[in-house]
Amino acid sequence: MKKLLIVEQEAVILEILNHCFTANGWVTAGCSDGKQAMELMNSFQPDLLLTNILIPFYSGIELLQAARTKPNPIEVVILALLIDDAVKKQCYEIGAAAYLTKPFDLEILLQELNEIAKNKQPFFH
Amino acid sequence: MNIAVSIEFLQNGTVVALISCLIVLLVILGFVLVRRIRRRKRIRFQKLLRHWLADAITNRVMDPDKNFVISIQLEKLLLKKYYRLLALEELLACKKYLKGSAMNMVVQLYEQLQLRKETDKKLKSLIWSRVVKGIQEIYIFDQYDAMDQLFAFADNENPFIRSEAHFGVINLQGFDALKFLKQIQNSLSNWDQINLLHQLKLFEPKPLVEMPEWLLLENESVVLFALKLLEAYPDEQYYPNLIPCLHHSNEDIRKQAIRCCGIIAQYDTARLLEEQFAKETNNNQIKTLETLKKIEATPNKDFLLQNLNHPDDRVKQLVAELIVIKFPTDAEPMILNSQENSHQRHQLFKHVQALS
Repeated sequence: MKKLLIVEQEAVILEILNHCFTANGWVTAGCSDGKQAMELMNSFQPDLLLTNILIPFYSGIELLQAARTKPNPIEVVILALLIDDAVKKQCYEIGAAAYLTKPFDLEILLQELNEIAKNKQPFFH
Repeated sequence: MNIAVSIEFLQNGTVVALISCLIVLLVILGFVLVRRIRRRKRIRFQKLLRHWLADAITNRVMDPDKNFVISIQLEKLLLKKYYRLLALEELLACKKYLKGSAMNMVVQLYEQLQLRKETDKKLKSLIWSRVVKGIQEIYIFDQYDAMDQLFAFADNENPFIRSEAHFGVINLQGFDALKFLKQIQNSLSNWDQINLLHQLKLFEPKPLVEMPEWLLLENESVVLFALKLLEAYPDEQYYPNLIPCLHHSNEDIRKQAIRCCGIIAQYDTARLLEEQFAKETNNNQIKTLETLKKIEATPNKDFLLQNLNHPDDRVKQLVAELIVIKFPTDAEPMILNSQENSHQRHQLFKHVQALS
């Protein structure tokens, strides 16, 4: 089973993402700030991290850096409201697998994450 | 006797003060308790609603033909205004961040739960912030049947209401909604204009057939906005309507008209800009020279030579640049013979040459 950590500040969107991915065969954990996300990255050990950029305590970019510098790097997908090319470029340079903008299509997000999970099969438990 | 009365009085006073404190304390406690209960109820409802929403949206994404059912518990709660407003907030967040079938479902839910009634109440409110919220809900939930109401708000005395209404109509109808420009007497702020232009970028451009009328309106902010539209969506057929704006009494309108000339220039543009040049402000003179640099037409040599002696150095430099661009072979003698101070001439020529 693929493990997904969702970091989203908007409670209703977090619930929807959690629900949708669980229904599609993922094991999910969700939180609304960077501090909890850092803890969950160690305790939950996700295969994939789906995060917003503007979150409390740590930014999505800091989470991305932390996820990519782990001995077993975690794939990261950014889901942000910002459409700033510089930020987008920075995310890809650090090693984000994808950068999606809000408003987002749930079906496309699901497809994209499944695709990333499939391509990185050896890393998954 | 007097001392006894005083002690009794003090004792009575102390009792009254104690009772008062107790009452105040009870009131505060009651208030805190009510707030706590309310908060707990709100959290419980939000949890229930979010869970149900997530379930309904996931089901719709996985099976588009599946219908959603509202639980009896939720239906009962939604009869109360407090919960209806909370539900509205949750749906707004969903609609803001979702696209595709999930978003369509959110709109469907808004209609099915009859939350439009709450929006309509907000639109009738006397408090401007509530009206603004109502307008936002109308366009966020794609309520096209409320277009007339939004158009009515487009010329509201309150700048926040009319700004939101302008944004709302454009959000719903794109270029077709620009018909409101002819109706408004109040001004369109710069911020409004930027927002509307930005919003229009999301739509397929359409011919701006009302442009000639917009350019003749008394509302100067609308004329300015119309010119910005012409710059963003150039259409040569409106060139004759643009020319009178070069002589407008408003400096910003003239400046914007000069910018537009640079985009839909015709054979006589250079001549018209040169004729107007002497009457222009320093800023607009600079804009005129920048426009002349951009367009294909060649400016008049005498006009350029005359302005090489302009008192403003920025103008002088732009004129020299124009000469180098438009008359590359004659540039050197034109510039070097024009000024009295030979050192200055050489410096200017060298500088412009380096730039080009």
